[in-house]
Amino acid sequence: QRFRFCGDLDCPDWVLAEISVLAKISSVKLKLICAQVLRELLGEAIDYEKILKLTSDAKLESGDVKATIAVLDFILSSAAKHNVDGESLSSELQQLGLPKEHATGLCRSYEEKQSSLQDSLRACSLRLSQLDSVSWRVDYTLSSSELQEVSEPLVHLMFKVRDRDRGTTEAVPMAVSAGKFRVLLAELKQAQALMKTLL
Amino acid sequence: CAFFTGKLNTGVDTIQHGVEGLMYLLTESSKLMISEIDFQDSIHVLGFSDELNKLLLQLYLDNRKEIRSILSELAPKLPSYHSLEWRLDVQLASRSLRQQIKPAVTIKLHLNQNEDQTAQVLQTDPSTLLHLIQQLEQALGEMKTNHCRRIARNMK
Repeated sequence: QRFRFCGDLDCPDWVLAEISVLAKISSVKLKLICAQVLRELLGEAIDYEKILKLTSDAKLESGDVKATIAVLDFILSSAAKHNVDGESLSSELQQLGLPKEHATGLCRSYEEKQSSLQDSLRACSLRLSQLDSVSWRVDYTLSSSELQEVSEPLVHLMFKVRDRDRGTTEAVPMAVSAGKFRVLLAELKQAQALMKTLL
Repeated sequence: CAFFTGKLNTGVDTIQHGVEGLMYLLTESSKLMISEIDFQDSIHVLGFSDELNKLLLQLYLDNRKEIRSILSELAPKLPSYHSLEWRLDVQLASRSLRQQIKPAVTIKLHLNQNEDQTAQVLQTDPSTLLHLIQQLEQALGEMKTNHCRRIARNMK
């Protein structure tokens, strides 16, 4: 059977197995654990101690606690990835054996954070490089060793490019003559106009 | 080494050579996975007391599994798969040509090699990607042929 939140594929076996563990936790506590996992997905630190306290009633082993976090992580991020609405997610989880109360609570937490989750996932999508900043300076060359009177403007550009893997910024400087700079500006303006038609 | 020098009343060099000798004996024996009898025969020529021979044999048998697992980590390794990121883009226009529709898949392959993480960026069009997937599925399918199954059975 195919599930939307799994990207129209079969539900992975381990998710199926862990859903039965989720049912052991009370639905109220599950909603709170969900809130913690959502915080972590949105980039904040996870409070593992809190989750341990919330799962202590269900008497889960430490391996089970980690598995609970993993399965919630998968369900929430996969649902956001495939743009599944709360209702559909709830019915699919119930089909997989999650009790109605648990599914409803989980999906309510999901719906509240769905668009923030999708924004955060969009931001960490594959991107080869990123322009951090541009700075410029216009000089006027008076004279050089080759020609006594040069009298030409020169633009210095400095692009700061961010390497996403290493988190470092690389500076790419270049000097552009007036003519070349005019061409560059015209081309970029054309590209910008094209981008505007798409927005 | 200094600790044992005091206790056994011998030079530091002697202790060091002793430790090195013991290490060599254990790693070579574990590497070749020799049987008890072979091990006993080998150390017999050293002329130690029976008690010492028994101790050495016990040391070998107790530790050889762990030594073998450490030795297996030392083999040279090719870069291994860590994770894969992808994105699907459509090129609509370029400086030279407007009104295009050119889909492209950009892939970032993260590899692990001896605790070093490297990344390879690849780009392909959808038809090449489909061909790639087909080839990989064929490779996986090879595992199910009789030839591979026979070899896998014999290895167990």
